[in-house]
Amino acid sequence: MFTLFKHASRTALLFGVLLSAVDAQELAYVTNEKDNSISVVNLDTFSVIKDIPIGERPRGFIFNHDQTLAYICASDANRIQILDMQTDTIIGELPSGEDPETIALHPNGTTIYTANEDDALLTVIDIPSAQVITQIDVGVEPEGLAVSPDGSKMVVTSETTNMVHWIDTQTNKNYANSLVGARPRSAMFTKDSSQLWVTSEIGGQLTVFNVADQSVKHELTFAIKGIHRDRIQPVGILLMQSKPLAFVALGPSNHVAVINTQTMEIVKYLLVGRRVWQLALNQDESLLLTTNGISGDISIIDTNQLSTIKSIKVGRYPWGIAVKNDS
Amino acid sequence: MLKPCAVYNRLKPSLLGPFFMVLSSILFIVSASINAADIDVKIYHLSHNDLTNYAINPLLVEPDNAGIAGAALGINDSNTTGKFLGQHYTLHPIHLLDIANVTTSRIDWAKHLPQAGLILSDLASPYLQQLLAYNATLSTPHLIINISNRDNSLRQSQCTQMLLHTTPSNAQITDALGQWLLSKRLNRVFLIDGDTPEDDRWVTSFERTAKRYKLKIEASKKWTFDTDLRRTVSQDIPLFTQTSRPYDVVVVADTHQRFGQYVPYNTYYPRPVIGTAGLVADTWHPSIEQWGAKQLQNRFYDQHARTMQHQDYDAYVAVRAIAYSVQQTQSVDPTQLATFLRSESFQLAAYKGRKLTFRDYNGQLRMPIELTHPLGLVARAPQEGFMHPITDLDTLGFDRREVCQ
Repeated sequence: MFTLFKHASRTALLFGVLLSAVDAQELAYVTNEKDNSISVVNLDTFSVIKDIPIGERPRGFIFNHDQTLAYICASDANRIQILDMQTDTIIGELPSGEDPETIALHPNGTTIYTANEDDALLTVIDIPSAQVITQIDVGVEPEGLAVSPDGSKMVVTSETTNMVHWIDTQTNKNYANSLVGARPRSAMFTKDSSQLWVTSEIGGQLTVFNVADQSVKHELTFAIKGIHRDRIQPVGILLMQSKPLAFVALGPSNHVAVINTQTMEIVKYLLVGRRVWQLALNQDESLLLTTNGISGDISIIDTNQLSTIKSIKVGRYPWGIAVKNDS
Repeated sequence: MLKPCAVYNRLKPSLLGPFFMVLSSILFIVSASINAADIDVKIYHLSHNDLTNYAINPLLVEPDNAGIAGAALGINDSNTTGKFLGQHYTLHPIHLLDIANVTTSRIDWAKHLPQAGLILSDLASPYLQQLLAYNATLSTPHLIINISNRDNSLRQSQCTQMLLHTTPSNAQITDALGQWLLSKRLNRVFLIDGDTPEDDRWVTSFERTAKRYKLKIEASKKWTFDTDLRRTVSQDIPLFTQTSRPYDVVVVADTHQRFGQYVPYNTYYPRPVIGTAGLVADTWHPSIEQWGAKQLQNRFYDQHARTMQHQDYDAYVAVRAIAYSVQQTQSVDPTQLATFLRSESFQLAAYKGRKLTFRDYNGQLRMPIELTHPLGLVARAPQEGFMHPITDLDTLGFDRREVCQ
């Protein structure tokens, strides 16, 4: 396996050179849950170029639309911190309620949602006024958040309640609840807002809903040769825009599943680092990045070859990840 | 049966149950969704209120609400979920000493238990055996979940469908310790037997483990001291642990915490101490935070102003197992729930990083066991490399062919 990686890293370097020739510099931002920091990874050289100290137990990380600011859940500080991307400094905070874990931004760019894991609440925050608009009762340990690209709906999954809670973004009302497999984690809408994908970590399932009536369109389970099914725990989901492919991180099985979204067949399982968690794509979707909690690194996957080409050591327990275009 | 992923939306008034009108004002104030059918789920917590506490060290005294505090949190969590499904959970404690002088008379169970109830048992073996005998005579028996009794015989010779265990057997605990000893190559054991009936059961269980993993019990002594070790510990323990042949490890069986905590660092040979003191194996520890455990620890602390102990965890899991089954079956019928709990469809996420299921052959919950020192996690069983054809969790405790033969 090591020789494979050696070979792969050479390909990666070559690939990186090619990439830098045609594209501006891209940077991946990774929150390190146990180090209270962000590792910034240059995707041309595949190296960590700096660490930014931030609040306690950083997890969810997203950019605003023009990528001038980032919003970070500092879970143990009970804050969402605002990072200025020019200066790498925290320039403000948003009130988040206790223990914010994940965040999602409405397409309007001014409403942010966060799940308060300890309080079974979804908090809706107005960014310009830094005020909490409302808090919505949801199930125990809310976790995964997703806002439909058309902006009309959002969902939150609750880990211990085993549900997807559907919320109307106009009224901030919970209008439906769907039971899914045990411990639902991530959720993602398709670009046309017609489907919702949800993973259940302990149930080992991926559920695809028709958004219109919350009916179940597909259910998928995963099987990797030589790995006990209990260890195959779906978490992060990513749907490509440029190709009919989706990726599902499978936790302690240390693999990412590649799914053909037209046939809903599993094309391949890619070996990555230990306890793979969240996923991100670079701008042209040529690279998929995964955060690997236990091994403390990120894996880089070439989405054309569908192979893992590189792993890069970051901080302890990398959690959230997002890619900043050029700079 | 309700399929996973069924959707409950607000437009199903025809399915609303008769309870809805009565409970709606209480239950649905905070709930945005309206549900398929309302269910009231009463869970009874049966304890024998035995206040005897042998521990001489204040750090080891059990909290008064050990166990039931976990059940109370389980009820809270189940209600948070239940509000979206029209399910309402309540906990009803019953103390045996309040209803009978159990030492002198048979208990009139029928008088004090509900019809076809869901019961958490925090009972010692004689009472639990009596309850099981009574339950066997009923045409609509209770579902009984043992949340505290670790007696191996309850897993080996009691195979009624209506009994489940969310607390591990002594065998699961001693096997977890045995796997650790084997992985550390600590093969030669000096065993200290606390010499109470509970300690004897623990020792018997450890002896089974030793045989299974080919650990050699070099020497074994019964604890007969009546001195107060708080003053003489550094004189007494070295003498007591002096043996002619050296050992690799001291295993202490002191389930009542009378002396075990004084053994570490005072053994005649400088060796690790494990068992009921030193390195212990159990279901939970306040330092555990992985797999979402931190959120459970936080909720527990918020509700009870103390850290969560293994007794609390075992009771919490029992309530959650019932709630998950009610969620999936839409039923509170004990027999139906008992069948579902043992089935392949049952899967409980309970902060252990993998789904927990019940062994269909004896109702025992399969679970990883945490090995801890007083302030933190050391390891987790099953250890890497211990294999089983069904699941590695079945390397801990009794296998199918050891049960009810």
